[in-house]
Amino acid sequence: MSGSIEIPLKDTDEVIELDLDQLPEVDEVLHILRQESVQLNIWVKLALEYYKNGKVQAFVKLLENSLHEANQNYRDYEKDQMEAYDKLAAFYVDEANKEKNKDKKRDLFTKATRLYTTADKIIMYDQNHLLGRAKFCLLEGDKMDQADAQFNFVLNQSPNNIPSLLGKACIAYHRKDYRGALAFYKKALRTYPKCPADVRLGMGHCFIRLGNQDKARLAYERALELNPQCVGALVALAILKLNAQSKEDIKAGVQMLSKAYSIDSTNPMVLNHLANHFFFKNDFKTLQHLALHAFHNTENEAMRAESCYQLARAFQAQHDYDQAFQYYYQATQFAPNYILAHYGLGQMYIYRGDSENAAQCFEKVLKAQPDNYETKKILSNLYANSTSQSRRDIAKDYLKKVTENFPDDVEAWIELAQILECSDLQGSLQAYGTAIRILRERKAELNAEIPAEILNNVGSLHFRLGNLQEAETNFEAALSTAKQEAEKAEIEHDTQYYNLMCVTITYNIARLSEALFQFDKAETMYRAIYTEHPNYIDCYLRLGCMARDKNQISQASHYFKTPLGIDNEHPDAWSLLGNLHLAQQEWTVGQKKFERILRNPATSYDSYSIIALGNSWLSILQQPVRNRAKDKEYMDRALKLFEKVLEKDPRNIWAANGIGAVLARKGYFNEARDVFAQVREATADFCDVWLNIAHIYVEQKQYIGAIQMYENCMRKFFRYHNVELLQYLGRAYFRAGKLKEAKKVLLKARRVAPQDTVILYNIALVLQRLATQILKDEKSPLDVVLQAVHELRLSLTYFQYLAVHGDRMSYDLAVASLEARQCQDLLSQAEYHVARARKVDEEEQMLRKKQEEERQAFRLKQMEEKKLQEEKMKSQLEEIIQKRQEYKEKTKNALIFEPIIESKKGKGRGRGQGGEVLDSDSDASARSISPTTGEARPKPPKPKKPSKRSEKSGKKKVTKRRRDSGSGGEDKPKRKRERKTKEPKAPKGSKKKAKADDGLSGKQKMRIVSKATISSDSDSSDSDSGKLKIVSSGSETDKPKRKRGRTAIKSQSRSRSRSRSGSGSGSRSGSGSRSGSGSRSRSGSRSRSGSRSRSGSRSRSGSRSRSGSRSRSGSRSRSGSRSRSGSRSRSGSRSRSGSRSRSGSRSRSGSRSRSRSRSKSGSRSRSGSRSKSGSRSRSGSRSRSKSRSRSKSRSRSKSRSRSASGSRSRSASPG
Amino acid sequence: MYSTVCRQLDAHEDSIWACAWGKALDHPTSSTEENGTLSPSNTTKSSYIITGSIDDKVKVWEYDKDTLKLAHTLKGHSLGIMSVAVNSKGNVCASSSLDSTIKLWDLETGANIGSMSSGPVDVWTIAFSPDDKLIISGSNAGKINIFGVESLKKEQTLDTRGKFTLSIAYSPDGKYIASGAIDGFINIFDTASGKLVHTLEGHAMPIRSLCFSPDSKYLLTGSDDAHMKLYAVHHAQVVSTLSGHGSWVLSVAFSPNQEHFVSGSSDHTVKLWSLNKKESIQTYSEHTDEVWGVKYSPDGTRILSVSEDKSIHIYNCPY
Repeated sequence: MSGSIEIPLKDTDEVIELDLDQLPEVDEVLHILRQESVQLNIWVKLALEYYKNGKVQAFVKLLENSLHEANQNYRDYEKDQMEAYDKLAAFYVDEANKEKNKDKKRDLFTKATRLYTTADKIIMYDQNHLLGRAKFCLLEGDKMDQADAQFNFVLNQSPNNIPSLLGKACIAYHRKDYRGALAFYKKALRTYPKCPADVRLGMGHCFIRLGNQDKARLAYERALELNPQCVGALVALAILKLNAQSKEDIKAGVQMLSKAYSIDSTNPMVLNHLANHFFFKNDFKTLQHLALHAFHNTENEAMRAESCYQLARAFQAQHDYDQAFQYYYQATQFAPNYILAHYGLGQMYIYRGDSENAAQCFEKVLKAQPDNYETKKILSNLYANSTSQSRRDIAKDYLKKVTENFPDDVEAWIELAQILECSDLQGSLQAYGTAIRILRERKAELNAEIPAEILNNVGSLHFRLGNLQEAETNFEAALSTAKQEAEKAEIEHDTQYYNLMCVTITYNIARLSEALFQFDKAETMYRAIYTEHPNYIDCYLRLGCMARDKNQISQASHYFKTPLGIDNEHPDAWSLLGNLHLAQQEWTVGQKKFERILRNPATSYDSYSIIALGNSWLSILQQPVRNRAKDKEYMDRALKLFEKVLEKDPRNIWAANGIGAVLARKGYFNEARDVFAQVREATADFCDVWLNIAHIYVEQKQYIGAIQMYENCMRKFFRYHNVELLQYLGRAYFRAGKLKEAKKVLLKARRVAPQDTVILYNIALVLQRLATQILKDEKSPLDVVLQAVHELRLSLTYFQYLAVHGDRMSYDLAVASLEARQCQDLLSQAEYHVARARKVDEEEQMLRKKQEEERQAFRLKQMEEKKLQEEKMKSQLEEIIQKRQEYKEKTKNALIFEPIIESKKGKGRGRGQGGEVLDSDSDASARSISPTTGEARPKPPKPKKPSKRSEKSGKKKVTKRRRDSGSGGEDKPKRKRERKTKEPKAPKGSKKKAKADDGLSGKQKMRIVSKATISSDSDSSDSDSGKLKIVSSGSETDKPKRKRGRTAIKSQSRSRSRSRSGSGSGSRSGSGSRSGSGSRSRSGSRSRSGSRSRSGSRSRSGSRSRSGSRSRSGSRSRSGSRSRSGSRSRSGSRSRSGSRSRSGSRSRSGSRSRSRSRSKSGSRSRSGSRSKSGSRSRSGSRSRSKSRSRSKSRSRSKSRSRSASGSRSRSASPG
Repeated sequence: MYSTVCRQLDAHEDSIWACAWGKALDHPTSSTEENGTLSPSNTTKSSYIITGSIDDKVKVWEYDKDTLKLAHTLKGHSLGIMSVAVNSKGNVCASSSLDSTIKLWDLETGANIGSMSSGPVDVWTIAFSPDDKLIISGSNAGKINIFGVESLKKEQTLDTRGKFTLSIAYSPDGKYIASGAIDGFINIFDTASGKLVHTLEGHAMPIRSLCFSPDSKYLLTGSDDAHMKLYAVHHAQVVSTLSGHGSWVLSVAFSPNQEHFVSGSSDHTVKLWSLNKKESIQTYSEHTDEVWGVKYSPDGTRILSVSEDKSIHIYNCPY
């Protein structure tokens, strides 16, 4: 075909020769062709020539006309027809592939389809036709299988068909079978070494996919050699260079990109990569331009997603979060698996405060990249705020993993510490400790002191753990840091922030002072705080509690009411007021306060209030004077309330305790005991449960257990003599028959509460019983008997006194006079006993005297004997001496001395023997004495009688009792009551703990204790102790108390987020801050006490933490990684507020968060955001933390891989 | 500087509720009796410490050179000794028990030299008047009973018209009697006229202990609200409120030189306070249970404390 085409003329042999270089106008040619009815193959040939010359329209026109008008009356015309169809179809397919407009594209595809279908009818299995079709299928997408089948068919016929091989490679690549694809490419290359550059390009992509970067680079370079215009290769190489991360490489990469751009300024892949580059250059305008261009130049959704992502990123960097959100959203719509976009979208959701959606986004990211720690951190951050426990647990797990993998990540440690604040104080403290250590180590690098927030949080944790000294050091350090910061801060907001922080820390220190019993110091501090910040409600509440602890009720009530002027629905204030009323036994008024809390929709499920109400009903049941008919109703009411709480919070121990109390009151002691035992297992720090268990023991006559329980309880919870508890203990001893111990315990009670006639009554009763017992025991020695009589007299005077001056509300005065008479009877009998005892005593003394005399006599006798013996010995000695003298004189030898010595020895022996004798004598006498004493004693028939008597006395009592019950319709006094206590408390164990260590707690708890009396009027079984019990019970009231702590700084509650960015080198941080809502946990205890102080301790726990949260700037992916070209970090900062727990009964948490992020220039931005969340718990302390994070992004690899995929989609179209 | 110089564990069988420290006596007779070699200068140094316990015993200890020697065990009370007092000469002590009897004892011989009783609930804590002629006692229904030491009879009753009088003190100058009630009220009587001159609403909780300063200008009170208050007697005004104890303040005492005072509390601690600074300067935490009583030695160099843990502690307190 060199240069010309011949058109044969009709009916002649002439031809028209058309010069290929100078093709005439198409219409002219058409005309000729028509006129001469030229054979189809000529048309096709001509059309092809036009195409090659770039005259596309002519090509189309010729082909289209050829189908209808060309001469088809020749052999093999079908083949030509096929060719015409195929060519035209292929052209349309190509056009369609280039076309960006969807409608037009569809039109073209339809045309192509029609043509192929027509062609199909002519020759189905023509190789070229099939290839065309296969390519069409490929391009049309989603018909990969069909295309594959077609390629296979072709390859079966001609195994080396290159287009098929390439097609197969393409399909394999799409199916991620990169090795397969590579094999096909290689085969193609072997078959036809001159393959176009695209084959090399494809191989390059395969290598990349297989991780073989070097080979990939070679392939790309070869492709570029073959075709310097090969954009794909250029881009791929550029990416490789960029990924190399060295300055030169990046430069070279960028140059390649711009070259690619100059070659094809509409290639979206090039545009996107350039956009990415400009992002790092901070040239957002260009970026935007390029990305938009790219977006409009592609139909490929992945590419569009990429473009959107680039745009979104640019907007985010420019703080245009709305736009950024839209583009991120679009990106995720285009490519649901595009995790970078999800990450960005998540950040935007956070900015918008939609943590639910944000969490979903980040979950997706994490699914794709299960080890991405940034994401984990963000997620855990989100979940940490969540109300659901399971989510918080997830957060904890994530953070634990993060801290395991990156033990140097201060932020993660802080965050972990914050999550643990609610659940695991020790763990939290350790986490903070690690964070502080890291901060210290990197002090120079970070150029920052340990933030005051962290110190504060650590302090409050120590506080909650009871390490008051450490808490103090930390709080003081925090305060001085905060003050320094406040002075240093250049911006007003900062100053303000730090000043507010100072207030919080001061509050914490005041709280601590309270715990250290420096009440005056605490009071001064609270006053100082509220003069400056009149809205700081917690100060009033604390002051109120302190006043209440001092029993200054009206002042306390004044303090509690003040906050209501600021926040009329303030639940803590209302409940404290309610408790105050309940403590005064103003049941209805108190209950109204709690009902008010429950009416408020925001606090309609306040477990604390519900439990307090339940307890108040139980307390009413214990009043000695009440409408007995309503007992059942009250019990049911209480039961219902407790059940309500348990429904919501099955682990609420206070509610469980209440239910146990109701059960016990109804007489189901076993069931009640099970309930109490469970509560006690849950926590050992709940004194009421101990008491209740002990009460049950008493009820079940397991006095030893009861006594142990009471004593342990006293040791554990009360440092002073708790009169009530002493009375319980006395009663238990009494019923156990240990009268002496009972007496001692009651005396101790009387020592601290001398005005309490109930105790006096009980003492009198015990004295009487004790005297009775002693008098009946005929073995009692005289002095004991005399003492008993003396005490009996005292008992008599006491009863006589009580019969007149007693407390009518607590016991029946008539009974006192009956007892008095009984005493008198006993006293009259006493004379006899005294006489008997005296007689016994005298007898004994006589006996002793006699024995003494006997012994004396015996001793005398012995002495005499001894004397005699000695005399005898003396005379013997003398005799011997005499004899010796005689002997000496007789012998007069040298041996003289020997005998003397011997004789001396002999003497010694003799003496020794004498001693032995003496001893044995004395033994004998002792023996003789003992039998006599033995005889003397046994007279009283010992063991049995007492028991009989006691039985008797028991009977007596029974009868008496009957009398009593008979006499009194108002059997108040007789009633046996048991009281159970319940105390609604705030949930936080931790807070409680803090309290527990200080005296406060004890008091509070005590106050808290409300006891339900189980009255078993009918229970006559323990008649004998009945009176005692009665008496003791009468005086008590129980109250529910609650402790709660709350603290909050209202004024600060606004959250503010601020971001500042420093110098221009281009860091940008976007900080979105979210402010949480105020969390307040109140846990504290609010207690109310009976007559004595009540206060609670509200412990405010720690958590008002203003936790700082940490903003975490999530830096993302692409960003930072190239720090050298300028830094960019994007930080979405989020602030979260930390703490709050509302676990148990009532914690409400309010967190306020404020976040601020600052970025400093340079390559790294650091954003620190703090949030404060106040949670108030009244346990106390608040913590606030702050973290500054420096974010560096590390998701470099991510982005890269991503871009590779971008190019991959590109490569799908084989050239 | 501050240290525990003497510790008597298990001094009684059960909780010790009361203590007193008598002035050093010249008792050459007893000293020669015990040990003829003792020089008179040594004997003057020894003084008597009296403790009373729930075990119904009053024990008299001779304190010499930081050692305690049991001199007498006085029996006769029942229901527990809740208060003991020594007269200004240091030769007679009085004890009161829950059975509402007051007994007088000769410290040197340990002999019971008198016994008084009143109604079943009419005796509580006791104190000697500065001239040793009277014993005052708190009582039921806010009354203060005054007994004559010679007559062994109730000679006068002052009525506060308040609640149970838990604590009582006679001013060293003899002009005032102060009483603390179970509801936290403080009443000050003029002894000359027998009239109530001040009523102070100092605390809202029981006042378990109060004492005058040696110059009689100040009154110090300790209450169940864990606070102590210092009043200027003349104006009946609060000079200072002191906090630092974590539980009930059970006992307070002034040092003879009026620079310090000491307090004992249910929180198991003994605290030493400076009158000038109005703050705690030392805390002794060696007791393991409530500290029922604290007292200064007459020369002001030692502090005595007794506790529910049955022990007697004596601390060194330099000026």
